[in-house]
Amino acid sequence: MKILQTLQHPLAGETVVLAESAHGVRLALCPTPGFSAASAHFGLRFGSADTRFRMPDGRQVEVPDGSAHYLEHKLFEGREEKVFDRFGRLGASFNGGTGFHATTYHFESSGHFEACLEVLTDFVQHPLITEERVDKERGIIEQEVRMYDDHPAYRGIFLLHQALYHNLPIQVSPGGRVADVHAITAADLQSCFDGFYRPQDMCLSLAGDFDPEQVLSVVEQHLDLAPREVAERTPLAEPAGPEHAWLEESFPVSRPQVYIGFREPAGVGLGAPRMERRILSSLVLDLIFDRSSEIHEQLYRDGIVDDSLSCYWTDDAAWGHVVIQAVHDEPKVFVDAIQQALNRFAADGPSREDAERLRRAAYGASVSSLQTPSALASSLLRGMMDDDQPFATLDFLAQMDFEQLNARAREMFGEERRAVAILQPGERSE
Amino acid sequence: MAYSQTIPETVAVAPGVTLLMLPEPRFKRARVSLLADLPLDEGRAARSLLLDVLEQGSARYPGRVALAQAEQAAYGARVMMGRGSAMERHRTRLGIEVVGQRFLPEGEVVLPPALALAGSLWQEPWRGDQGELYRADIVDRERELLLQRIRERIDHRSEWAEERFLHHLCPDEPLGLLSWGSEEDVLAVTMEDLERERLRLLQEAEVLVLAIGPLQADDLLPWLREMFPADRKPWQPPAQELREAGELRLVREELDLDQAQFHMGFRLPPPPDPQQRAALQVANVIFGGGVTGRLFRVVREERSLAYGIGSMLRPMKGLMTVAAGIDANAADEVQEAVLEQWQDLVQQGPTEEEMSTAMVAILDRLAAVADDAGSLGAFHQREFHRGTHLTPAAWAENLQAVTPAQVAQAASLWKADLRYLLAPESKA
Repeated sequence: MKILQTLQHPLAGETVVLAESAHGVRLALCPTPGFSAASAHFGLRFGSADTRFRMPDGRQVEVPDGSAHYLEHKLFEGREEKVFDRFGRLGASFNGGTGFHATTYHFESSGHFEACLEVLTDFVQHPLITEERVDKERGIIEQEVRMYDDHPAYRGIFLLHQALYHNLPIQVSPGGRVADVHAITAADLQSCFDGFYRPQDMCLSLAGDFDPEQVLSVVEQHLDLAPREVAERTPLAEPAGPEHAWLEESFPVSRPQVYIGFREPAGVGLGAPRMERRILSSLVLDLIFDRSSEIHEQLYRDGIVDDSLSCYWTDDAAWGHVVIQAVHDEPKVFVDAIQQALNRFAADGPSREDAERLRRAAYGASVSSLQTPSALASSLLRGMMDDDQPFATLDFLAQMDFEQLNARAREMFGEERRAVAILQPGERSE
Repeated sequence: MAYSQTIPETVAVAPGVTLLMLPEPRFKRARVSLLADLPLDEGRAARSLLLDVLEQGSARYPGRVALAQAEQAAYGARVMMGRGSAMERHRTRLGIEVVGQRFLPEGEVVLPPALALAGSLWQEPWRGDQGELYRADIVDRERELLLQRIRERIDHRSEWAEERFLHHLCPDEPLGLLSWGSEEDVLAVTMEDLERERLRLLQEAEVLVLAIGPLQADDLLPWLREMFPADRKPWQPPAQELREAGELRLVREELDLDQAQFHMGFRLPPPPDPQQRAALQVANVIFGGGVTGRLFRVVREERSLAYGIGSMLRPMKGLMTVAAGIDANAADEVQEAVLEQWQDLVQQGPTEEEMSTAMVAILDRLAAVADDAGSLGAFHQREFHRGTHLTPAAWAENLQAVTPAQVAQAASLWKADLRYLLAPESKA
């Protein structure tokens, strides 16, 4: 185990030790004296969007949507004993999560941190995937997929993704469709594991009232997955511009639900460029749609928006888009009014005073979010997987330049990059 | 494991207003939660609309923009209001959160302006230009938006199923009522109703204030004493009326949905002392309180019938409920499994392994309570409202004394009352 850096971060009020295991797993440790629980988050950049890849032996593989999520479930079955039972005996809280581009596993424990750490590193590195085990999980995952299928907001977001993109696999939820769940085989999951679960791409973050050097010596014994070649992703090419400008579907809702997206022309990769674009984009959205904005207030008074309005920025290395969503009886009226407001904002640009107030608010919110050991470990893991320095958001907010925000505000809302998805009240579309 | 032994500093602010202080310099954010309880009576619709109206501005901060900008200027201070039912009461919440002083540039302060903002919302309403109690345009608009939210509840299937389940489980009890009031109730609210309910919050509600994080009682007391008069006459919550289960009732409703929502409700006598409450908590964890519980192991892991299934206690109300998302055709099988596991727990008692697994899980989470302002606040709020005032350390002692026989005894007091299923519409 190599300690790479010990970082004091006064803005976050934390110390972080960065290290690397003998096999290449990157680690970040954050001691939190006085806290009872300790937490570990283990993850890698492999997610539901990784469905087409070439294995190191040259074999081209295409797995059904939902495979990364199914694999996450199977890892929790453990090799000889269910992970639920192992963590259960130790009293830990634990879970996993699969996104479009990452899979994570984590636990929190007050009394058995080192034993839990052994369980976590063991089940993520050493699965046993058989057809029988895969079949057994199908009913459970099908129910999980159906649970989300009843959420209008979930359905609406993926309809918007279908409008925004041509081939990008984020058009389908990380769990896949019910048909995908029925199509996935043990061979698919084994290919995913063999292709992407390799130590050089894994990250482990830990936070708690511990001595980092002592914990590192324990962890080193458990990080035993041998380095190997990684699969090469072979995604379908993604044409520029939205696939559909306007897409509708019927769904059992009381009133129409409207989802507007603005797609970025290109990705900016990982690291600082992405982090900066994410923060700037979020601040721009707040400048327009937060309750502190006169633009939002006018839209509220005019009956265009109400408290159902929400908006956010979402992205990864190769894509990014804005989402603006609301419930409105007349979707066309809503979309036109929003576009006009965006055009006015892009033309006028933000005021320095508004930008500074929002910067302060974002800073306060960011500091406050880094509270519990689990929140700290989660933040550190995301940072490592995104190639960011620990707590880079705080550093950027502390020195953010108004002109960066001004420039971002003027480029985000081109109408040619817009797509709209509507859930119209009615029976569910087949 | 170490459990928090901190006893909150208790300050009687005014009649019916209690401040529980937990100064905690480790936390990065200070949190003040004001919980104002009144009966779930006909005033609840007015109180629901009142909060939406008050959120539009105050005399000192006229308008939503002024309010939001004041929060942002205080480094993202958050002033939040909410309402709902709790322990058969109608609870109105006023929450304030600010980042800790040590993370602010020198000379900046955020708690005083955040308190001033929060206080102005309840004490200094934004009156109409002609002396009206509230601005008519705002009341009309917020009334219409509240009505829309009431009508759109059905769009959120799992929450709708739970609401319908509680309605059928407790048809003539406060828990079965919609805490917002009905559409008719909201339509009938007048400005005088709004003002009456605002004054009731200040003068009659039973108020608990929880303050946790980097702050002191002296930071809050002048503000609280200004808000709540010394001559206030607080409402006295009545003793809770308890119901017993009859025969198990089956209710099925249908809707356009993909996954059926399964609920079961059991009645039980509220535990009379902390030791029996501890036994009940252990019984619930063994039965369905997590991934090591029997319901999860049997219904999900052995039979693959659900993604998630679990049970939840409302001990003071005398209810234990089970919820799962399932295929509608599996409802009878899931019900049978729930009843089988319950009966087995009563007759055979928990295994040694179940006892040990449940205990370690409960104690692990109890130790972590002190790490998070939300968990710590929730713990002490429950203890306050139960009148037991235990610390996490004292509660741990109760839990550790629970025996398998006490667990079986606690489960034996449950009586199955209702199975509710919200199922996909039948095809003709």
